Amino acid sequence: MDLNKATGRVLRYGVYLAIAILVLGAIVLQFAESMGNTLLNTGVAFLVLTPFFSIVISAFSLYTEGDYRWMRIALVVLAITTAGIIVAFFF
Amino acid sequence: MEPIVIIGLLLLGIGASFLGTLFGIGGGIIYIPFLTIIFGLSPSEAAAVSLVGILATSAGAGAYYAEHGISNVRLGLFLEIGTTIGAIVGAILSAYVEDWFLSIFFIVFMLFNAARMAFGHSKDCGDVDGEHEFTVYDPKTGRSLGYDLRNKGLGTATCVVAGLYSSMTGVGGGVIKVPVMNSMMGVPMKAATSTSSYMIGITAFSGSVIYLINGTIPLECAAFVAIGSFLGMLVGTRVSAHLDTSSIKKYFSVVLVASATSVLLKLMGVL
Repeated sequence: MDLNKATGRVLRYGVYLAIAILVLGAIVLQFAESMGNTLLNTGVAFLVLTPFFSIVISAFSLYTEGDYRWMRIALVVLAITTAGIIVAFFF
Repeated sequence: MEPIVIIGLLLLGIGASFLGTLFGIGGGIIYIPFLTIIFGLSPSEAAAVSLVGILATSAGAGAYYAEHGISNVRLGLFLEIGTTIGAIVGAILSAYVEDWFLSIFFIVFMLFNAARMAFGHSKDCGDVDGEHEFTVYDPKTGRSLGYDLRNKGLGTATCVVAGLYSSMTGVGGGVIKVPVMNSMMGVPMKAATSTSSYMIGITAFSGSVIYLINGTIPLECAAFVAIGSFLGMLVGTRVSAHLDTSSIKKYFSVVLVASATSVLLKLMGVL
């Protein structure tokens, strides 16, 4: 699995899906506030989580390429990013 | 929401994202003043909406540059270690430490690199021939440039400080990482800006997820900014791929001067 292509695909699918949900949510909001807000929240969530999933796929791609040195670096980024969220949440 | 406000938010997203995609910056330097002064959002609401706009830019641009072999995902992950550590430390320190000292350091850093990019050698890093650790494809010339990373330790340390400063002030991101990669680490300019676009999303994720969990993102504003950002990114990626490197360097020097000016005005209490 090529790292650049795998990472690019996750980012592409994530942002396209998020934007599609946001456009739908913005339209629905004009007629049904509750459903519209739910869709907007979902779209924003997809957008926020897309970079995180790209790191996960990058680590897996590096594993499949047998590039364990850079795979470990990707896993360190995942661990630090996750730790940062926990620290920010409790501080 | 009034149609004029919707149009304004879309245009803000388009403009900030277009510039952000060209230069590998997030656009927070554009989002925050407009969202607070023109659209009347509070600083924390503006920060939340800005992060959503940055995410849309970064994810879309990151996808384009990665798939076309322009950005360096490995380098981006490597430098994000330092940046994220710095951001975590900065978030903890921000409650206790004044940021004026770091602000002065970064004004000097940005102006120094602006001068280097504007008046320095027009020849970019990288070689057409020879074996190198990494390569970047330039759609403008149709050639691949090979390059090796220099000063990895210094580059990482600077990214720690960049992350620390970014989380304390909301400014920094790409305007620090791009000169670090290009001037310090020997990364060709297009690879530096495109890798920065990818990295910014990871950094923005760390900040935005807290707003998402707390439910404090103004959703309608964020949605239109994100949609505008996505449109700006679509144009910006195509334009930047076909700009020549010396032009990107000279225009980026203007961005650095604008960033330094923004930080100075904040320091003086004007912004």
